[in-house]
Amino acid sequence: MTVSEAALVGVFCMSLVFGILAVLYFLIRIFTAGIRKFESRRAEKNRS
Amino acid sequence: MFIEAIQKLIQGSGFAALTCQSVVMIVLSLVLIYFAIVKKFEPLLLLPIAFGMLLINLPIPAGEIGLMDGPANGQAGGLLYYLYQGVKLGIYPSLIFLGIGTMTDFGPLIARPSSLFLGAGAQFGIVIAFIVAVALGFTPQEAASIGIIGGADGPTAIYLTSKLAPDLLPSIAIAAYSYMALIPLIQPPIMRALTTKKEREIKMTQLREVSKLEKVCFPIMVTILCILLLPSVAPLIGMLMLGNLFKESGVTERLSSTAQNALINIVTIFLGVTVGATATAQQFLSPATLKIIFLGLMAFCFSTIGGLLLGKLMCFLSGGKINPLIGSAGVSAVPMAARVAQVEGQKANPGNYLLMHAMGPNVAGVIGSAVAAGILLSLFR
Repeated sequence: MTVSEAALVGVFCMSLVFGILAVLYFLIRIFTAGIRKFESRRAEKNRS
Repeated sequence: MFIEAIQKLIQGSGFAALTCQSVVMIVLSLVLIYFAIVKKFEPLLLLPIAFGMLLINLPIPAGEIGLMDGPANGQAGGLLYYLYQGVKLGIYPSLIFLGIGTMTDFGPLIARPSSLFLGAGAQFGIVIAFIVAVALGFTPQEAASIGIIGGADGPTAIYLTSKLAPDLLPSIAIAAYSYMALIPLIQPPIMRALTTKKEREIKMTQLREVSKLEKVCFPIMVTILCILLLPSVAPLIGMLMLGNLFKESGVTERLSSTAQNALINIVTIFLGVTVGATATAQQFLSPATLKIIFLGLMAFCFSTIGGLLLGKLMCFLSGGKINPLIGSAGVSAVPMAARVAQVEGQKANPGNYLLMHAMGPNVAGVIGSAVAAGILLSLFR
């Protein structure tokens, strides 16, 4: 493997790491928003 | 007659088989034992590694079964040969991840998911070390194993190296754990060089409280996503998240307690001794080891730089609400890297409490380095 090929692999790897963690970021945002909404509704129901 | 008997005794002992190289390795193992006991450099792992090194470099006369020798001529293999199968098959690192999972609180990461980007940025050193290692003549498999030192995650480094470049395992394991122990010395100068005093003084607002339901759902969600996207990472992420589920579910206290105490301690002993036992003179005393030590340090430095630069970017994008110091904690090494961020933050502003904020990128770094290892494994296996 040449250095330029290694650099390409490196860029690819970093992009994948960022890509996977970015997907995870959005999933966490969506899930936690959903869970918090669910919990606040449940709390409201319990109160009433 | 008497002299003959003495001669026979000496020839049958290990003294006759001692070589200069094995003496050097024995001295080196004693130095490591000193660092572990006196200097307390990651003693839980360095001590068994150093002792394994000592055991394997004490020569055994011809005809005797060595500790790392496999079964031959109907005779059973050495003790460490069998224990080493746990490393070779990637069992021990995964079990250690199970224990780490039971000890990790992902709350700060769930409260501020953008920490994931800091954990990703702090994998920068892996790539730089990989490229330089290829330039220095290592094969892509070896370069990937060396690069992963930058992830600052011992079990991940051992897991990847055992799969891609088992010959380099002792040098990489020792370099990874030594640098992890040296984080309080390596990171602060880089942190001060890359941030202004004003940035280091930034006080961050308190993180929101994370509910139990969020904490229970998190490991399940990460497992499904990561393993679907990257099946090669299943042993590490799967075990990490299983351990965390034990902890957060609150219904498996006994399992959680076993995984974070007895199990992790037993596996650490087996892992340490057997990794140390792979450090024979022929494998360890080579120019490659020196290169690995240099590349490992470089990987650590660049990972810190990557995390800090991402931290600076997030500081800018958030309008100065995020202290860039927490970016340096993206290099796994839980919780030492987060503690270093806390100490540096407090030096700049005594009223600054960054520990919980730094724990987010810190645990994100564990996920990030496991993901990076999975990618490298998929590419080069």
